[in-house]
Amino acid sequence: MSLPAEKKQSLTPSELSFIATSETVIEIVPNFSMGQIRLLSGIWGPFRPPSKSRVPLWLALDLKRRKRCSIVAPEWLTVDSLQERLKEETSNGRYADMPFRYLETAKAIIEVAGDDLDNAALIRSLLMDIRQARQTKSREGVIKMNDTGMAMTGISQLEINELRPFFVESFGVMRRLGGAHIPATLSQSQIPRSQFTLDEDGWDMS
Amino acid sequence: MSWNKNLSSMDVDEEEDDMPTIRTADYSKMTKSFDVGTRAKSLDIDELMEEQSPESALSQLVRSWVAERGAPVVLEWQGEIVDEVMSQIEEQSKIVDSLKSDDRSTDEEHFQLILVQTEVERAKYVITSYVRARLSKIEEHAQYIVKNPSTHSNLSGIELSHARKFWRLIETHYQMSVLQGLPTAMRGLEDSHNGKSMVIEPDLDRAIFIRARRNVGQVQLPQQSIELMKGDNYLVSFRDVSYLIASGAVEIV
Repeated sequence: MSLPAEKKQSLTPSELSFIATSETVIEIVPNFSMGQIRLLSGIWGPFRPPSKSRVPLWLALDLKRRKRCSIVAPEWLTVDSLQERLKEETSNGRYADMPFRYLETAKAIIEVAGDDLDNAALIRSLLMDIRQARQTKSREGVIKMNDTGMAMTGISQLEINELRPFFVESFGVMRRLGGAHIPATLSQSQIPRSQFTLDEDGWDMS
Repeated sequence: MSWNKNLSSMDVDEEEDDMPTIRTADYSKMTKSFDVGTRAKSLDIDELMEEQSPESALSQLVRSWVAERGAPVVLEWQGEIVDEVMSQIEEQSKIVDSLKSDDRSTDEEHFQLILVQTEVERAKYVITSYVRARLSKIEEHAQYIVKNPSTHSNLSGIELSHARKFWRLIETHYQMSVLQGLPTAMRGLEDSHNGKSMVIEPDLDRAIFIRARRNVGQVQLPQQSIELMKGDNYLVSFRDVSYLIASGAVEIV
């Protein structure tokens, strides 16, 4: 009712894309002059060509569509860097180090500002290779699944979303099958707090 | 938070400005006076942003929305953040309106207005998405919420009264359409049989994907202990980490 069924299981790709364009900050080279602009997301600018300005991705895409800026490709979204990551991805069992929202960000930039990238076609195919290599790893990771917790270090937001319905369901089934060891009323107070260490930010659990 | 500081620093600058203000709002002037304010406070804008907690209320709301969609239960109502974003939207809309009706606005101001309006629309979308994600769970678990006062603290006043009204409607509907034709012993809506209750409860053991927002260190799960460092992703049961979510150490993704 308040949420359609397909949205109950997971966020939708378009929602993720919206989030990525809100939360990612990117560099642009404006071709217009304008002072600072105060937005809900912060204060951006001033815009003085040819110097670069940092703006949220949605703003960069909006300006690009109006032909008022060119987008500076993030360091990781270049042929050299992606080739490096692909090598790492195929030679190593872990997920290579990619930005958390790399797929959504890359898709938006390639779609709107492909002409600002060096060799957008190659970048796109490299990204697809990386994505495939990572998907294979995710599938292999299913074997390691258990009913208490599973590390997924390096996985990106969109990949989490793809796995979510299946993993959440499997997790539930495994719990039901082997769940005898789990106390039914494990409350917060029963979790030993002494297990926690003070981290470098000086953050204390108590 | 930083927003309020911007506002206050701007107010001060406006007061110091002896020039009579003819127009109700002047975007370039407002941003310019803000500029002066920051310079006076600190030389390095990055450093300043770092100190003032760079996360905007809008970003926090986005995170709450994502968390709400992932969590099996209704999480704590983020009233302060919602109010903050709402008042920011109102503020921006006022500026837009006054500049729009003023035909002396410059082209640059008009252009800024478009951008401001675009973002206001995006912010409205985030607010409705957040509220809807909660509403969906509230309606699903209306009976459970009404019968369990311990869940009430996570709901806003409107949400709680909605849950009550919603459940009353459902209850009345069941009574009128079916239950009153059945023997009295079969009319209950809260019976339990073999430990299985008729009340739909949220599944606290449901798996969620979490991401550590800072270094947490050792976390004890029922069968294992995990090391949670900033940026780590884990698939865990909601129940096992709910206290970390409440403290903001991890986020649901």
